[in-house]
Amino acid sequence: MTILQEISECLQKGKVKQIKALVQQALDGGEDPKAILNEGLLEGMSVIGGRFKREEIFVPDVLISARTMSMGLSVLEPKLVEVGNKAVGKIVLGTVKGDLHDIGKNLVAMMFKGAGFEVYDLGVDVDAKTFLEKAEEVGADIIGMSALLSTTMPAMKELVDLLEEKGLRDKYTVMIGGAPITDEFAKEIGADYYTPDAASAAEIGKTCVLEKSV
Amino acid sequence: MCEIISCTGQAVEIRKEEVFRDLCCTQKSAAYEVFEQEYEELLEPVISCCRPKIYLKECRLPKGIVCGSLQPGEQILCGLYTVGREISNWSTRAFFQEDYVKGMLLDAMADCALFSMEKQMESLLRSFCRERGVGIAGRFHAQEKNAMFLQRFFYEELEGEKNGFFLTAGYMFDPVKTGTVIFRLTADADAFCAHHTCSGCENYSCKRRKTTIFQN
Repeated sequence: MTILQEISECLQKGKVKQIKALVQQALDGGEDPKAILNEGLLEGMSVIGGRFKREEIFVPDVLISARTMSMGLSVLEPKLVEVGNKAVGKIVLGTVKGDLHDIGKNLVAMMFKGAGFEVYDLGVDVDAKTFLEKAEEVGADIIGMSALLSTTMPAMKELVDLLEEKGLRDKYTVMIGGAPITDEFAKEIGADYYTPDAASAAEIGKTCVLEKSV
Repeated sequence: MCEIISCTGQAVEIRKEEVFRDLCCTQKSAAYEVFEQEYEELLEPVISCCRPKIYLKECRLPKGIVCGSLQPGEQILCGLYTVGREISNWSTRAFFQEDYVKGMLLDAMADCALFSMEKQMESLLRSFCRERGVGIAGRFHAQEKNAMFLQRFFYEELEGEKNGFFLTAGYMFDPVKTGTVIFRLTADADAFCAHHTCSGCENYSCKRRKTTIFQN
């Protein structure tokens, strides 16, 4: 087993204490920091995301792996900066205006980080204008909105309408999610994607960004 | 005009097995040990951080508000209860600091603390019924189709703003860990149908749901 495979395995098993040492060992052994990220940490999170989607594991296992990834990244990040590593993409996300639920959104943020994205989490009760301003400021690829109430779902359309009004609709991929959201609703309001869980969201987001960059 | 009955400062109760069940974290899970250790460390600080408050008020259901089989003008007791804002803020901070395990555990523990307030509510209800010589004939919750009007009704009737609550543009209470309930009052002082029943609840994905299997 290569050191990168070991890192991936370690992350999948959520071995928080060992991951830092393994990443350091890989760096000391001359491994490319980008390879450690992509073939070690991100690969491990991708496997975890897939297992979660197939319901082989549950949220706690994903959280442990995400925490392990975070630990590994703390060692790797300075080196990634040195080599000028670019994130897979940028996502601005938050829970829509009037809605204060944040657990689902937090899990989505976690999975996007685990997929190699730069994540700008605007928190809860975010209005359409704030989503757009942040997306413009950071040059986001994706805007992700979460809603858990049928009373706050209409706020998602406000952003899509605002993007249309400003002539920016094609600039961003709009992804939505939350308990009352459906694929039909996404189509109805003109969002690009609805995803039922955090792992699918990160997977689709990554595919979208990679397709756009080709 | 009826007074608001309030109860504050009671301790919440958090049951480990309920928290772990809500998180789908079984002893077989590889994550169990880490979660268990974190849970033990968090338990006391979480209990101290909760600020439980219950508000009850006897009133009549106004016209225009539909809630189960309740009729406009019917005598009801409406309730608002919370564990406070700090625990949710703590969970949010933990997620922002990428301490996902703590963030998730705090949220699940807050839910458990909120559900544990049923006990305090029951004792408050029993003393209310004794004093008024009435009973409780049924329990109702805001449902999707009436959420907007009912949440506004609770907020106004129980003086939400004055009591530290805030209602968002989407009719959601802040603190997030807040519950609302309506009890139908009856002259039958022996009746006490105040407990939650899963059969009337719309939250079909709730992990606490007790399902009934019907067989022909």
